[in-house]
Amino acid sequence: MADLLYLIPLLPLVAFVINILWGRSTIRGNAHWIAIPAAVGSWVLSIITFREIYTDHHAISQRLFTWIPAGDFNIVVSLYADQLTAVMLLVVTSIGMLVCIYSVGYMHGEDGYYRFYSYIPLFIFSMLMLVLADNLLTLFIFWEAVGLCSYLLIGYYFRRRSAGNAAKKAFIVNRVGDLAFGIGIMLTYWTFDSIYFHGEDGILEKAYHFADYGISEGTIMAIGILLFIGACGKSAQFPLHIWLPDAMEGPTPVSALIHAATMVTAGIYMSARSYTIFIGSENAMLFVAVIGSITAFMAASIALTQHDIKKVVAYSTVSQLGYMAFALGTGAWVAAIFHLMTHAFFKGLLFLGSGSVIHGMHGEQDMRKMGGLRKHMPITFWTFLIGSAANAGIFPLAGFWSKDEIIVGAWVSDSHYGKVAAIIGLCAAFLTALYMFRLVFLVFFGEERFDSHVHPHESGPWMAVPLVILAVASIFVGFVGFPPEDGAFHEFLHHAFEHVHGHEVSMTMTYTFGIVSTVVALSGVAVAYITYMRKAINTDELAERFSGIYNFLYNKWYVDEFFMAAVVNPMKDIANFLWKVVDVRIIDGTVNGVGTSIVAISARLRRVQTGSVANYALEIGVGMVVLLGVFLVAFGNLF
Amino acid sequence: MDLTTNHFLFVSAALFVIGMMGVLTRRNILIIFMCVEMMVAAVGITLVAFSHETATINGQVFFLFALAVAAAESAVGLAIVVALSRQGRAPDVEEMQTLKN
Amino acid sequence: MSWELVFFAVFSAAMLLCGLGVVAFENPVHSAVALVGSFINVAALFVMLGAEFLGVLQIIVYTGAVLVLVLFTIMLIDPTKLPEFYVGAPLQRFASVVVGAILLAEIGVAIITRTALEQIGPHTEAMVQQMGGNVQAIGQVMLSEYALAFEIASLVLTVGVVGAVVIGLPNRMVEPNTVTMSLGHTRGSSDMLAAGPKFESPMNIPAERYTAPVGERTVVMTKDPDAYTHPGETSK
Repeated sequence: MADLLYLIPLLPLVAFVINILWGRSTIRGNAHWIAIPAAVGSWVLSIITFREIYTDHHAISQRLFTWIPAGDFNIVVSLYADQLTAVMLLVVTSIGMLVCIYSVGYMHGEDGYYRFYSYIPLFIFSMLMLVLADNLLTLFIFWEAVGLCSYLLIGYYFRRRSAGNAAKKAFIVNRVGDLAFGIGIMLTYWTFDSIYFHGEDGILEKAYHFADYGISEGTIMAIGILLFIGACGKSAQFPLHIWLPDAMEGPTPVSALIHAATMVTAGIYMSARSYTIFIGSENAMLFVAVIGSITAFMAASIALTQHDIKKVVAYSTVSQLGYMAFALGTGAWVAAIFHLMTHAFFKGLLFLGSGSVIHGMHGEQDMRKMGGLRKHMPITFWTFLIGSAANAGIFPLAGFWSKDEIIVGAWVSDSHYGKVAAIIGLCAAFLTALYMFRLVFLVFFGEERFDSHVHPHESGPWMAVPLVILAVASIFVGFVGFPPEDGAFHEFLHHAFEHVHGHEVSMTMTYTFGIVSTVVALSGVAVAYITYMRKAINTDELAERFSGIYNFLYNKWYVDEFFMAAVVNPMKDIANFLWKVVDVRIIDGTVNGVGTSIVAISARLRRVQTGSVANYALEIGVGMVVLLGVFLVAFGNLF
Repeated sequence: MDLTTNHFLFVSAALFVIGMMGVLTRRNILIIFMCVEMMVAAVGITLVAFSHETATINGQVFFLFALAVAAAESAVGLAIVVALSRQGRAPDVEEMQTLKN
Repeated sequence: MSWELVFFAVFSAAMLLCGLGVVAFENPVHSAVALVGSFINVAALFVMLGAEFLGVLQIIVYTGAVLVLVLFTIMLIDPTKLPEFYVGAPLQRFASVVVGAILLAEIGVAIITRTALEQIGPHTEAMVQQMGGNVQAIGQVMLSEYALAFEIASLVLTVGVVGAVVIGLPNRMVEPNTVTMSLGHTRGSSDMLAAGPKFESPMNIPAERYTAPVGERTVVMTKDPDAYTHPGETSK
């Protein structure tokens, strides 16, 4: 298998090349017949790879070519698959494959169908290369490449102004993180003299024994924080999360694949990949944990008030990413990756489900205009219900196991902040259950609030089959982490985090937290039921009474407004200044001034050209006199 | 007082300046043309005087070439004057101002 | 005071006087005759400097050929069209005199302050005598050391003659057989007429241009001479 590792990313790349070159002219509506086999092929190869790593406990690597040979600085592009990568490979190819299949139904008849099926394989390729990268620089390249794919796919409906703006916003906000990431990589190289993760001289070893190499803890902290700011951009952590809800302008399958399951987890993956750097610095860990818990709570609270079905799911994604981040920050590495994996399945399911709803409602996204869809689209309803329950953390679905483990891990961690994070996590879990079931009740139950001419319909098999597959996965995938802290998943991933000492978690603690989080989740469901099914609480009245809080949440904590006021508008002012004063007045003024002054001078000088031969002859005579005079004074022996 | 090269040089300078005055002040192209020939002759005197002083014959050879070129020039220049008169225009430098501005 | 000096004084005085005459005579024929006198004295000075060949050549080429050519040219020119004596601008005349005076002073200073050159060359008088005279000396140098320049000079002469013939050919200087008359200009002026109403001709004619045959030439009437830029083509 080691020799065939390159095939995993190569297949989608080939699909991309074929579709982008011939999609517009020849392939057109058949573009998925290129993309799906490639995705399936990658998936099969990923499973084989996974099996091999699972049985041998060995990382697989394959050297491809030397990219930058510059003296001591040698960048070799080689693929590296260890346990962590294997999990990511499975997640990326599974969701990628299912999204490819689903999109056949969802994207049917769209303009630029071939474009969609070019970018999706390009994205899968980039994401696979990202997780297979064995050094920070290659990782960074493909980190940017997935960002590019994200940009292209958010702006897929580029005729819509909002889509173009959302694409730009995603790209620009990511730049902020990428700047920090880039600086972090430079600092890494400067500190460790290497950008490779593994091996004797790799970053991971050196960072773990940083004191032996004479590296200060402050440097480690700086690297950790810089890398995590990079992760913040990609993984939508507070305050750089603002692009993700806007990214819902893209087609829903894209949201499922890129903005829920895979790309946004790249930051989590990258932080987990360089975990020893974080282990080396408590402050960096604390930073990660604080940011993660703020994100988890904030996004969950915002999701309560949104009306757009995709926005709710998007904020849910941000919230779940926050969980992963504070799991990283409290040292629950395996739990973070576990949640990443389960989340990929149930959030992919939720997005595809909401896509199915939107598709059935002819493009309607506002939940206030839905309701009672349960009867019209049963498959979507049941699968969506499973996804919601999994997201809410209802026993025994996937989300329960991973989220519970994160909260337990935070509670028992060495960090002082751990218990706070655990409590915030429980609060957010309550909110998660509340907003998820608010969504379910508003969309699938109650009276039908849509216009009479809208006839909701169940989606076709292309869309239904992936939903069912994902629903089944959402139910059962959690059991790979059973029993908690000691499951097959932990056993497997343990090799990737060899420097991590597992937490001591007693059975009592496990059960206690299991029960507590179930109760919390169920109470969230209950509150949602009382509010939105029984109508025991009038939400409008509630919003009226607590209008301050409501508006604060409805306007997404005013983060966008803050950025507008603090960054965008000053930047615009500076740009305007540069344009209107520096460019127009100074630079253009200089250039034009040179031009006009030369014109003015020559307008006067042209009078010299009298056209009279006598004048010209006189001028020659004057020149002769002057030359002779100069010659006499300078070279003659007159003086 | 002996006759020296400087005497010839003074005379040649005087002839040259007289020619130049003619070029600068007269309007008739023919006169200007003759004054130019006079300036050439003045330069010739200088060349030959130096040739005599340094006992090299090259100065005389140079003037011989100058003579040849002046002859060619006179042929072309006079042809132009003839062509002008054929167009009915006067051989007057002040009339010719197409180079103006 | 040697005889040499006397001869020199006489020749040079005559030469300069004749030169002044060239500049000062109003009649070109007088000037030409004065030029002949001047050149003869130049030839005399050449002879005094031991350049007998150049002296002879000066007389043959200039007085014999060029001056005759000049006289013929004067004969060809319409005497009624001879221009005014001096250039028009007084400033030009004054500046010319000043420039000439300064130049003369500068050259004089240069001559006085110069260091005399030594006899470095091989062609001393005795040597020239031994070679068989001035003509032989020049001939040897010119046809050995300056052979290429000699050939080029002959080429220049040929080109000059051909050029003179080409310029002098009557057909070459023919007027264009189309004459453009502008109705937007007053006669004899290159300034546009002061603007009347826009797009309206100052004369009461159709706005379109039209051609009218006048004798053998095509006359094109336009409001603006720039509008008619293809002399070969006649419009309807």
